[in-house]
Amino acid sequence: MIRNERISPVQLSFIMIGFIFGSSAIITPAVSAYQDAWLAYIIGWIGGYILIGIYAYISILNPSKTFIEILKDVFGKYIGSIIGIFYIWYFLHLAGLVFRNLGEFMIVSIYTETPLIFIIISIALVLAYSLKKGLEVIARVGQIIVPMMLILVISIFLLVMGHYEVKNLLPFLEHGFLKVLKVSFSVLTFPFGETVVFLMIFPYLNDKKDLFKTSYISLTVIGMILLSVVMSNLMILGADMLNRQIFPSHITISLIPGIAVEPFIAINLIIAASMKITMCLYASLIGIAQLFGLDDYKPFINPVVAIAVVISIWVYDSLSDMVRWAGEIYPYYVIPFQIIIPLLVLIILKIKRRDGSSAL
Amino acid sequence: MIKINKILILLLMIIFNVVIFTACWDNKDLTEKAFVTAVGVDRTAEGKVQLTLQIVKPTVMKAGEQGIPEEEAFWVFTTVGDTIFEAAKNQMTAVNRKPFYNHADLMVIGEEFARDGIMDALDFWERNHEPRLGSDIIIAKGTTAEEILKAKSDMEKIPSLHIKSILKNSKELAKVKKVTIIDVLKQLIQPGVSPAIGAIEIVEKEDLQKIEDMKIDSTAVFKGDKLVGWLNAAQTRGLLFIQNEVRNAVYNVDNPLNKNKKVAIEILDSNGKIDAQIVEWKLILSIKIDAVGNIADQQGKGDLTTKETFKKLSRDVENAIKTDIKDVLSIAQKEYKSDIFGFGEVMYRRHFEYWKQIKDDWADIFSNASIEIDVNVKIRGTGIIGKPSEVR
Repeated sequence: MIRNERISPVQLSFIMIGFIFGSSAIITPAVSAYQDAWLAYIIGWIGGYILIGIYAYISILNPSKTFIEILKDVFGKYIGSIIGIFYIWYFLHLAGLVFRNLGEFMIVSIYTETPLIFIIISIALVLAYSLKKGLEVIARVGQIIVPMMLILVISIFLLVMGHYEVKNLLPFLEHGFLKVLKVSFSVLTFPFGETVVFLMIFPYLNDKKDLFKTSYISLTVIGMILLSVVMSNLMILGADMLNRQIFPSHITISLIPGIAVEPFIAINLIIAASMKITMCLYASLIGIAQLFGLDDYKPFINPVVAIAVVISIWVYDSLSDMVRWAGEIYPYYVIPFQIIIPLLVLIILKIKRRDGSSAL
Repeated sequence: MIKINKILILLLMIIFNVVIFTACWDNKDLTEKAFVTAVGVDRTAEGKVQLTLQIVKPTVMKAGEQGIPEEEAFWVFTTVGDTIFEAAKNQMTAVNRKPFYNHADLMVIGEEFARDGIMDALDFWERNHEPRLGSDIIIAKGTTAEEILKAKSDMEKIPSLHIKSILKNSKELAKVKKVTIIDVLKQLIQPGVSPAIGAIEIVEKEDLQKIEDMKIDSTAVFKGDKLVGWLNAAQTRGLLFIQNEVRNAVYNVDNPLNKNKKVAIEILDSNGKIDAQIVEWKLILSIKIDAVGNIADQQGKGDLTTKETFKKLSRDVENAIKTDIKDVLSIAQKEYKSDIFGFGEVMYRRHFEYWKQIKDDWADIFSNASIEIDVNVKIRGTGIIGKPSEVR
């Protein structure tokens, strides 16, 4: 444990809601299942419960240890550290991806003439400041702004209700159930599986016995909200158009007659994506500090944020590159991070427990 | 001392922020923008795209100067380019402000352009972030979009607002087909349905063309994204009944109690549904209309408030609606061979396995299909009087 920071279950659940909403507010992989996007999304959501259950269980078995420490315990000092380095890379990479999503949305839909790097850096500066203030401050900010975001989302999607066309959900399973399963796996990895980041945050929860409850409640809340977003986009735009739009929510909102509320989508995105990036960066900072046995992560804040910004510029050549990568490669890239290693860790932990050979 | 330093630094930061965060990076003042209210797209004789923009004049000059009585509140500009985007950029050689499309609520497409396919015009609209997909779209029948947008209006300062208000009247009178760009796009990408878009035509050709000399009561029929023909007012009404877009309509029928006199029935609400069923691998297409009406106007004598007359009147209205529907069905099936009603879409949604086998021949199957029409009209009231006043 690096710093004596504590967050309450309520704060954790708001952070989780903001985190999962993150960039999935504007792009969800579910759209590639056409009319069955809702089904693919629901299956992925249910899978999300299992994954988050695994993460929470790992954390409950090791209540005061972050994932990097758990890895060192389970796989030994050297192998554990190597896997830990990979995880730190993944958290950083994820932060970079979300940075890029946010920046691309801004320059495509609102600030068309502003350079991408300018938007990303201006957000990065704010986030670096909040990281300096520590987890408690971030959590308190989340407690204030995430509910605001939720109210905005709900009211926006109530406003467009008049445009719903239920016929857009038919025909059922046009592209076959296999396609739906494939897409639902993408949904599982983005956004639900990304909560693996919280293995670095869970130890700071002040009331460990509420861990399962907290994560399941926040998953249920955000799952329903994302479902309503997916459903309304699908029912308003129709499957084909939904699949072609890069940022479908933006178009859906622009159909509200009389008033232009598109900026609200951008506001939501800034809130949620900032929450997500902050958590990713925080996780990698803690990881770096623990990996090298330091007791403070503060000196690393500026370099790590800078690296994340650079990654965000480097990862993709263009927007279409980003969309393709997120849909086709990302789900496979994250399998070891989100599924295999956590599962392995859990199994080894259980075996060690049963043997009683470990003094965990 | 430290405290004062802190305050000083804070103050400096605030001042600094005020200076650098005053506006967005690509900030443009209102005075640097030209607000486009309507966009017209035409095809020139050389095959290029001609773009017409109706732009609101930011400062309408007052009367008096140089004897000009009153100046129009809008400008109309026309430029040419190979693509719409190029034409839009070429506009900047003549317009001193940057056109701003966020308030462009109307798109007019010339007949020539529509015959070549409207998708070329819609892509620009869909791809760029400024135009809104909820804008109305209309086809200029027998003329160019430029002619339509150049016309002045006596009722409104901005003529495109006049056209938009007429389109809104579709709620009051079922002769106007109002569609938005997103509706058209959805129908274009949807298998089994072709769009039908309202059309504006010039009734009286004048030197100083006005919107009042035009009317919107016909509909352009598309096959894919290409214009193939027109529907007249009655056929448009039939189409609107089928598509369940009728909110209010008027039918004149004979007064059952007084020869050669008419009674106007106002349709207050209508519920139209199309269905496609497969019975033993045979396709059955059907249309069902449930409407409610009132007696809105009675010519001639007679107490129409009895059950028998109500029945007679409703049967007459039913037949009149049926005639409109048959009319539009036959022209769409036989002449244009275009499924503007969306029977194919119903097939695609509800009978996907069957649809997969017939989708390539759908145009033929549709044009030869027999379609059952079932119309039910219920006359509910007679306005705020019952019998008409009798002249003694």
